[in-house]
Amino acid sequence: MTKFDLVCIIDDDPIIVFGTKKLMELANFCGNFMVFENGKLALEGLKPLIQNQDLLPEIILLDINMPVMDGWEFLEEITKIEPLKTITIYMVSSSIDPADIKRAESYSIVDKYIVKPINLEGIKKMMSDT
Amino acid sequence: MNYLKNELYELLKKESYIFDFIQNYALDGLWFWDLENPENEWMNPKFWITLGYDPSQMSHSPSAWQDIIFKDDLKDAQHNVELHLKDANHPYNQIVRYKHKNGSTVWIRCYGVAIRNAEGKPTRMLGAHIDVTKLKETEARLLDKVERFDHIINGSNLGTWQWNVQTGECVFNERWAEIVGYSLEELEPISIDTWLKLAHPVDLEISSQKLTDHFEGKSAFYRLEARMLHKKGHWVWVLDKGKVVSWTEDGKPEWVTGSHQDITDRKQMEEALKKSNQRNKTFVEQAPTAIAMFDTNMVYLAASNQWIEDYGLQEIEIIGKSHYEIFPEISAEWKAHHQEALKGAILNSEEEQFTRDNGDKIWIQWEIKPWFNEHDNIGGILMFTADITATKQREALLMEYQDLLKRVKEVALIGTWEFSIETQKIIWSNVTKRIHDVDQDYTPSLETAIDFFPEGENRKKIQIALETAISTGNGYDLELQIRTAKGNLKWVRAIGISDFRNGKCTRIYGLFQDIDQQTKNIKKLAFEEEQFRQTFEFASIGMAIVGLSGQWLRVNSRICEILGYTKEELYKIDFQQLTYEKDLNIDLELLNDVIAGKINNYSIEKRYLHKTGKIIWAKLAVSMVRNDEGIPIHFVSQIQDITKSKQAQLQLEATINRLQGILDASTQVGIIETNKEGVILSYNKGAINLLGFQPDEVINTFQLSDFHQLSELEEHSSSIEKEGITNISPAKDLFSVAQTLGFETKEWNYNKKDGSVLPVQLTITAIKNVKKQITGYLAIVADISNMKAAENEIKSLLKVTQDQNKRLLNFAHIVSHNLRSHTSNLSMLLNLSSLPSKISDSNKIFSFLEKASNNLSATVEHLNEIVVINTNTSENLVYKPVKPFVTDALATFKGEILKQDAKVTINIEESLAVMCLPAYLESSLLNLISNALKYRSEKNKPEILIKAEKYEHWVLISVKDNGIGIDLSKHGAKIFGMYKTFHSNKDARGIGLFITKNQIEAMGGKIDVESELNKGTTFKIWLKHDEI
Repeated sequence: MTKFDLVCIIDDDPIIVFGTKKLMELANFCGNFMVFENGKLALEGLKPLIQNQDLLPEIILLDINMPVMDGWEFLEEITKIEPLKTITIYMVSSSIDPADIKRAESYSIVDKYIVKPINLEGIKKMMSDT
Repeated sequence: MNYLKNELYELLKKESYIFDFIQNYALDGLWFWDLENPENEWMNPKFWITLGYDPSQMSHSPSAWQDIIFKDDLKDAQHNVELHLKDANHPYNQIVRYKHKNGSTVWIRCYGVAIRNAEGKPTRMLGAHIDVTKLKETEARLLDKVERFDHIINGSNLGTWQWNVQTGECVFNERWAEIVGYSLEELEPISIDTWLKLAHPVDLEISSQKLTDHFEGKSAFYRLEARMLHKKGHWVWVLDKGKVVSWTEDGKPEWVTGSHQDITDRKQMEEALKKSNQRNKTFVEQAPTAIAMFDTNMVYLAASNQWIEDYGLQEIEIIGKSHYEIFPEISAEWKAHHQEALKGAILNSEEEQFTRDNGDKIWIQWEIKPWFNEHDNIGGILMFTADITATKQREALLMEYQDLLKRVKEVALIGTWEFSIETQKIIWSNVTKRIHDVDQDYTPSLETAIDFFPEGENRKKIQIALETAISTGNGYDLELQIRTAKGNLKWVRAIGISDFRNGKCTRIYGLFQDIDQQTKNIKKLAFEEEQFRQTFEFASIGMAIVGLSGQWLRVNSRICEILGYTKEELYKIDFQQLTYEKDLNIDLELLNDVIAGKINNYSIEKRYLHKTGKIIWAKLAVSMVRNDEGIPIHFVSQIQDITKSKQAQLQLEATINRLQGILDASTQVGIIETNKEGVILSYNKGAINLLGFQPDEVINTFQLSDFHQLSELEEHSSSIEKEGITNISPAKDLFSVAQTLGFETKEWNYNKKDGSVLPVQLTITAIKNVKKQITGYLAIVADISNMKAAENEIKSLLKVTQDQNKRLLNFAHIVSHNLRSHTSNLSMLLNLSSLPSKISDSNKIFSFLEKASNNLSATVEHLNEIVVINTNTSENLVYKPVKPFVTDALATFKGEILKQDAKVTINIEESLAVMCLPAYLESSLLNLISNALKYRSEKNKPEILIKAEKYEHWVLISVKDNGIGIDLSKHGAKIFGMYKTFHSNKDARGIGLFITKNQIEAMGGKIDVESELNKGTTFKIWLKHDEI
């Protein structure tokens, strides 16, 4: 039995997506994934689920640097729709810029800021945290 | 030798009778003396005969004659013998006297010669006698006569003179010298010059004339009255008489003999008499009355000028003429008067009226009396007449005056009174009665009169005065008060004069004068004077009366305080002594101007020396007091001690000078003073230098705000309004902050005179007075243009640095993020690969690894590119025309343009060029054109407009498309960022614009974008046209 049923990965880098998925599987974190390449697609995907009260992912891994609509813009948009209290959102980025970290913390729905790369320990930590 | 002489010699030797003959008849005596045996002496018979003796009876010895020789002569003879014996050259020759037998004196001249032996020793002496008695007798008689003459002359007190005309030799007697006060000895050497020196020059001339006349025989005698200079310096008169007594062989006068008689006294008397006569004559002539002197025949001897004038006798010579001859009409009555007087009577009349020929009535006073000559005989008469018509008229006038006086006295409130001791009655004049406020018919008595004086001082005084007047004859002059009949107290002046004869007072009389008003006035004056004196004395400023030469005449206590001297000390000195020397001249000058009347008064500030030596500053005001004739009497000076204020003033002046110094010294800082309204009052050199305006252009005409720019003033106004300070006007608000807070410092841009702008720092400070009221403002203007330029430079430098920093930061981001993303991917994949996985997964992992690695490489390359761009400096820029680049870039996209059927318009001047790095410009243009084509609209055919325009030092190249546009509000900030893509276009790498931006900026340019969604986008590139 995996810890979580559904995890949403919003990242444009396929390597990250592949890697994260594989690690989560290996860690028995989760087996089902939703993947969006950018914020715009993620919004388009998640909106109807929220509206329809359909099965929502428990965790969202949100990348910052994405084309069309980046992580920040996604956050702006998603909080407008509805506060997602039930979903744990991890901001994932390779940026170690303190400004980014601070900015992430300013969003109440962001639970944590995670610095890439994600590895097994990181996944395990995520499991223990939630 | 004469043969006869020889014969005689021989005869003498031989025949003794020849010797006897000779000795008898040739001589009167012969002797031969034996010097070796002196008692032996032979005298010849003639010797004795001459003496009257019988020779036979006389012995041959000296004793024989020694008895009859005069004893004195014997002595002389013996003496002479001795001398002769000693010295043969000394002759034995004297006259001796013998007593003749008959008693008479015989004078004998006695010669002798000593006979010496072979050794020279005198052995014998031969002597010869000559009877010179007759000679002597004659001589004696002559001497006698001369003596007698001498007596006569001396008795006559005459000085005698004898003058040798030819030689000038003179002989005077003692009296001659005595007359002129000398002794004869004093006048030696005597000669004619002695006379010439002493005689009066005028008389000398006459003298020589008279002498000449006498010498020529014109006059028997020489006679002259002449003056001679006495030793004591006065003149004596001499009567000089003389006669020639001997003539030379050629008939010239030789000796003149003469006499001087001292006639000084006579001469003086003559003079006195002449003067006296003259005086008398003058006296008579000048007499103010008409007097005439007549002799017994009524002939005029003398008449006064008045007489001549009165009787109209000016033209006539009356002296010597008869009175009746001159006045034929004299009446018989008058002639009778004359005769009576001539007999000795004295007649007169006090006044008698005469009628003149012309009918005028005149009054005459006359007197006739005899005069007596030196023998007390009547020598004639004196007549004295006086025309007293005038006097008579005066008398009449006097009567009138007396009447007038009476009236005047009445008017002047002077009344008279009289008290007779005898009758004890008092008489008062009308005025006196009026003074006492009594009726005109009031009769006073002594008691009642005294009663008018109130009991006490006044009555006592008048009683004592009256008693004194009665007893001693001394009058009185008192000012007393009386109580009039009406009960009024009145001041009167009471004068009493005592008529005191023979030790007794017969009456007292005097005046009463109502001096009530006067007295009151005087008392008032005295009171006012006292008031003045008090004022003077106790005034709070120093007051002094100063004499014309500066001496302190009167000072008040304040002056003593100010100067430190007592009044007594000041009265001894003058103000000049107390004046500080530097101030003395101007003070004296002004003083003199006042005395001269040029100015009425003056006022100066001067320094005095306090007694202790310290300097007192005083304000001095001086004015002049003159008497009624306008003559200066003294000065009135007022002195105020202004030492404190002067010191303050001096300090202030010193401070002001220092300030002025500061003001002037500040040539680079403008110091401007304004009044409350902001109008410029003072403007220093610094302000001139900074602003260009001259003082006369701005003082009192400009306001401080006139230098400011209106826009800045308005901005200031609104900014302070925000602070809560109410606005008045932009100009006035300039001072608002200084008003409330005391000062304000701000940067402004000032308008200089030449129109240029000067950035300044202005500090406005409010100037307040002691009451803390604002009286004006002080503006300090400092030129900050240099500062500003530096500031601007710093700012631009800062901007550049900031840009650099931003880029650096950006770069760092890029590095950290992009590189990290790839490297983290790599590590993640490697991590995965170490974990158990399926084969398919392994393959996937491997291909991802490859991808990640490639990505990493690509990123690094990009970074390299950017680094290279940024290291290229603007020093490599070259000047190239723009158009060719555009056409070349378009050529690259020729295919695509055709494919899309895009319309491309180029609007670029051929010659327009820019400073660029050709590769970058090419790359940028390619990128922009590519984008324009890439992001075309679905609906329209792409239209691309490429323009290039010159704007001053810049060239603007714009690439405009009509494509899909960019939502700048969303993406504007990120558009030139790295890896930013905003759309799903597959060709978007997200790095093109980033690189373009870097390239443009490396060329010193700028890139900008304007866009509207679905309308189109314009990219603007700014590049340098030339070096700025």
